[in-house]
Amino acid sequence: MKLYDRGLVRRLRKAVKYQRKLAKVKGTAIHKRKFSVDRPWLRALLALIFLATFESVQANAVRTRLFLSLLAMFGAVEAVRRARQLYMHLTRSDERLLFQFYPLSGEGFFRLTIERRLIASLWIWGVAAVTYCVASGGEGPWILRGLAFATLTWLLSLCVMFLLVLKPEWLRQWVPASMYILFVILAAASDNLRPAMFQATSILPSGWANALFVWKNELASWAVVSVGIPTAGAAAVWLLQHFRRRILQMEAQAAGVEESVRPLRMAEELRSEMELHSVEDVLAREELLHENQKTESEERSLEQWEKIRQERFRTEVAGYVESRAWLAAWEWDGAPWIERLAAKTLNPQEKETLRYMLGGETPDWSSRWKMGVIAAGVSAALMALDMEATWALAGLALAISVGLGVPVLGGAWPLLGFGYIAGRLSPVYACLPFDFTRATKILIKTALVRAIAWLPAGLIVGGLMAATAEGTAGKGAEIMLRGFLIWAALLPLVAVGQFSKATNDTQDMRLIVLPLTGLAILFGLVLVIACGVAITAGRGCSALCIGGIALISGCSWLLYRRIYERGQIDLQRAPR
Amino acid sequence: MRIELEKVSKRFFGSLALNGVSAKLEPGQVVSLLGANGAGKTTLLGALAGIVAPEGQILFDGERFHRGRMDLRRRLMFLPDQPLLFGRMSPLEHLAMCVHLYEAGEPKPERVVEVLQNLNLLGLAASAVGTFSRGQAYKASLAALMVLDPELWILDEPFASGMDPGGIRCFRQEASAAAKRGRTVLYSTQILDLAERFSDRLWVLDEGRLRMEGSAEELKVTAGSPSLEGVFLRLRDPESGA
Repeated sequence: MKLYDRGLVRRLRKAVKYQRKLAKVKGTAIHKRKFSVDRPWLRALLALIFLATFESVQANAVRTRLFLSLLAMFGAVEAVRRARQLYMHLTRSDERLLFQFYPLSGEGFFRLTIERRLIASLWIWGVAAVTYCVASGGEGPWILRGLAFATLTWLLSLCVMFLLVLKPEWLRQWVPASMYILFVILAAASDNLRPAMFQATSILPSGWANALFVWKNELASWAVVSVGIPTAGAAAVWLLQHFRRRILQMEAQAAGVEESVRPLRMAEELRSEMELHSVEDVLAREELLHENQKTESEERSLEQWEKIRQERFRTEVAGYVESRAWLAAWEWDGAPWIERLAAKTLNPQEKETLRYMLGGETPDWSSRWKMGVIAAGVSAALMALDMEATWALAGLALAISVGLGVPVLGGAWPLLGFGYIAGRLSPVYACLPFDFTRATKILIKTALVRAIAWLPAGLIVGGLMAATAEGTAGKGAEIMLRGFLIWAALLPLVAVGQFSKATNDTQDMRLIVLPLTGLAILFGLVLVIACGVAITAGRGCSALCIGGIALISGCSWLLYRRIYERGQIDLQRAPR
Repeated sequence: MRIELEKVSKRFFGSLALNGVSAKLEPGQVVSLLGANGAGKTTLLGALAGIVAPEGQILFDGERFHRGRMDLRRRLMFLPDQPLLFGRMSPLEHLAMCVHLYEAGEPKPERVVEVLQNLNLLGLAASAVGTFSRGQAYKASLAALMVLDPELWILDEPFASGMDPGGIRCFRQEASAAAKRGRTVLYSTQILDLAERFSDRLWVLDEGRLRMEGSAEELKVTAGSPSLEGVFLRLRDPESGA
């Protein structure tokens, strides 16, 4: 029997595509296709950018270098993106899953995938060929030169791709997207930055051909390219073979793990037992056990065995229940640093309540903080480029950083989320004795710890922003600090908001609610004005305003607590 | 726990869901709450659990109950018809959460095993409730109620919760035993046969009012009907021959 059949593969691929299409029609969130840069319209857009700059490149040597830099960057991004795609396709794609149930060997699947990916990667070659041809400016054998350098760039990108798939843990989803953002930033760089940019991108393997391309000695450049192409090709083939072996080995290990582990464990158990007893004893006991089992198996029917199996399972579960391990408190000391710090601010009861406010799931505050700091770093780098075009991106990166590092609206608390009781929306804690005061304390403390951890990054970015905008770095950092203090003063109100979202306090319009609503609007206006003044006014006035905000916020919290605890509002609201 | 309701009313968007309900519950009683759809049963249970904020007074052992009285709140447990559970938690983790939030002492492991065994949930004790059927999820909540054993058990439609006959039988046995220990059990239902067999008293709500109260026999005599179904129908249509 043929191990793999191209016709079958084609039909299966069609089936997978059809299933994807169906899933897309359903329109559920789960089945929505994620944004990918691998889209025809995006490719067309990139091609248009290259074509539109044709004339300008010919006329300007600085711009030639810019486009070569962009090409190097493009090659690098594509190598990373395609490496990720390749790895995902070979290990966890729909096709991989489907083909496992058909007579297609792992090797066959690998070959088919690589063929397809290599053909797709010719896009890099195409873009490189256009760029080099344009950059040659029609001098000498410009077509041949363009094609040769494009081939070298393509082969080097393939080498990077096959090298990266050997380290799949580096291939995070956000890496290609971030590199594309950098690509846009490079495109918008000012003229005086371009030579430095060219030097920097020439370090990338996809930029090595660029370094050769601008050599004055054309003969030497040709010689290096002639040697470079077969060398890069051979390296790509070698890396591909290495990757093939790795993938096939992984598959074989995954398939054989169950079979291989069991005898090994048994052998180990036997060995340890042999060490404890004499060989004769062990053999005699084994024989006796074997005899007993034989008699038992003959006497007992299948049903009896099933009963025994279930009984044993129940005994095991009962043993777990009796161990009380499920009642044990969480060990916060072993948690990542922000979680650990936050836990240190809480008493034992609050720690346990925190656990359930999180829905029994461990929080990811430290990892969010890390991402927030990276985003702040990106924002700072964009600021440092000192270009008008990157201001908006820097602002966006800062907003992302704040969103990740600071729980601006109090954070995500599954216990304060919604569920349905008799067709009405209710908070999940509605049926539990959940203390408002304790919960808000936990919320405020954890939010403060998270925000303080992020604050240094915020202050640096604030300082850089101010310095770039022709102010002083100190002023920017001060504004950032004031913003933080205003937010901290507003935290009691933020906590109230977390509780308010699942109650009918804004739905139940009774007579008593009207003056309260008026008061709330008045307070809101005062708060907005106070926030504005606290940011812009002098230090003394600002401190006064922040104190006022804290007072209003605290009083609002007390008032809401009274209304909430005295049962003036329902823990349910009509669904919209 | 002695529970008194004094002129308890609740208005939702202009319509009265509860209209001046006054009643008493004594310790050791199993009370079944009956009424047509929209009669106010769930609202009344919600008011007793502190979810709904009614007008009037609810007194637990003479003390006024409201949401802020955590000491009183911890003496009762409310199970809605579709319990609110975290999908990733196991029945044991849910129980641990209840133990903590109720500030109850550590439950006896043998009691936990017994309850889970009786509810046929022992094999699923460490599985995520998100993978459970509706009846199993209800059992997971019920297990927490049975283990914690608060003074007031409040259950919304336990017989229509998707539980299998084994689960329903277990609930009835446990609730009866709890009542013998002095616990008060209040549940709503539409299954009149079960209500008749499994309750000391019945409360019949109609359009937010507590129209009838007493044992099944007393209600039948009052309404002049041989069956509870007849009592029910006569509430709506006094001329009915049922």
